[in-house]
Amino acid sequence: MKKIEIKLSQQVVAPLLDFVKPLAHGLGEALAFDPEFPDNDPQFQEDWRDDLLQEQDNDGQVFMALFDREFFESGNIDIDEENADAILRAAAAIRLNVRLNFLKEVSDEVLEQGDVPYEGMDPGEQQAYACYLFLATIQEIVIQHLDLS
Amino acid sequence: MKIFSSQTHVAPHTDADTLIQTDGMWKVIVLNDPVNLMSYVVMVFQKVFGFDETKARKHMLEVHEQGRSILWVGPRERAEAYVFTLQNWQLNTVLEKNEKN
Repeated sequence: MKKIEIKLSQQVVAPLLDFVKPLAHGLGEALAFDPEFPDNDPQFQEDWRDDLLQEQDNDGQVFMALFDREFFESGNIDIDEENADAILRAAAAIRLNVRLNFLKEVSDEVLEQGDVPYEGMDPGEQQAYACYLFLATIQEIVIQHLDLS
Repeated sequence: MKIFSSQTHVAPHTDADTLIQTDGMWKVIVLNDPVNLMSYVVMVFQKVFGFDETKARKHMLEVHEQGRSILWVGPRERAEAYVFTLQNWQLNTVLEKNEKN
């Protein structure tokens, strides 16, 4: 995978980051979804959950590292084969969190079709949905540049 | 005790579309969710199982249209590893005993 440099509008993205940042940091505290465990043994389940949480936390840290001083100076974020997978997973985890906690009133069908009644949402929901779309866009850009051969 | 760390696995020769006539085999099943992008799901299947895009897309469409898709069938230990990896990729994945004979 070649290195991708994405130029973002700081004016647009900075408010979204204010919303995303606590969620990214929270990836070390709770899993984005409740997994079904392959075994009923409580210790197995605890270890499984802990391992997933550690991985998720690592992904969240890699994601937030994108928005460093360079981003705030130039608006650029750099994605390469070293951080791409973690960024994709972190974005997925945060999107699941946003859906579960901030877009509860939106049905699955409406969300999947993208026909969300944005104008009718309260400001909190609007910001959540904007983040939801922003993260999806980041994912789409990265996926387009992956070499999966 | 660390059970797993995420890795990209290349699929063994076992084909999820082929019935396995052996006892003790387990199915790795991905369930639908309304959040993850189709392109993301396809990519994950390619990365984790080494599928080409056509096969990955076929499984993604099964998940999307039928609610679930069997991605792999094989011994339990390997199946558990796949389940962990897919859950790490934020896909709702479960393990089921393969009851077919």
